[in-house]
Amino acid sequence: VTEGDRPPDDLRYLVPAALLHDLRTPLSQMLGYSEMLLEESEAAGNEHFVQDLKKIRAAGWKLLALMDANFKPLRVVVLDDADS
Amino acid sequence: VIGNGTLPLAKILLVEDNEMNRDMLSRRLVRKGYEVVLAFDGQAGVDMAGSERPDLILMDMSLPVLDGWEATRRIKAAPATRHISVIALTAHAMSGDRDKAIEAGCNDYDTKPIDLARLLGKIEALLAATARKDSTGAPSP
Repeated sequence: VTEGDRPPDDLRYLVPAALLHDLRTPLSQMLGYSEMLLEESEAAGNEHFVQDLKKIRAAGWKLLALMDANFKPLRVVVLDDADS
Repeated sequence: VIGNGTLPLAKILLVEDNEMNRDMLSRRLVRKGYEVVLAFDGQAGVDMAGSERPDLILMDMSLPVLDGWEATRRIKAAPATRHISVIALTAHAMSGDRDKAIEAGCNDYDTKPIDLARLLGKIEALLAATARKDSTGAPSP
């Protein structure tokens, strides 16, 4: 795709879409592993780790919400329970 | 027995090229009681859909060799695999991406980072729908 193939609006769309994808990938891994460790710590009854892992998880989801809010003009899909 | 206790153990094919995402999600699904088989690219996903006969496929969309959209089209075009439910998983989260996945034949769509409770809800809903179709003898979608 060259700049001449697309109207300016579409070109502006493509750059942040790729950026958002690249940001969500490592964030997905950080959240996934922290939640997996949280599940294992809860199962093992390790309350000390549970509390700290909940803080990591909360910070990760807050970062995701901030990213989505800043990409809101690009109509980011926000899924919720009603979506399933 | 998984989820609400009414469904038998299900086999899930996870098609994901990213090693960390693959490791993390497969371990979490195994902990929930699913059998998980893995494919690392879209062509392997198509091949394993036929050879492994999973109950459901979790399909990353940005894949090497064959992307997730084309892999899903081929799975849904083949009589032997078209009945298998496919959930698209992608870090693409723009509004058009959901439509693109559904148009390719995906039964549902979810975004990364994964909300596991939400994803499990979608998995169980699709497995339950398939089980209902099987019990009534209705043709596969």
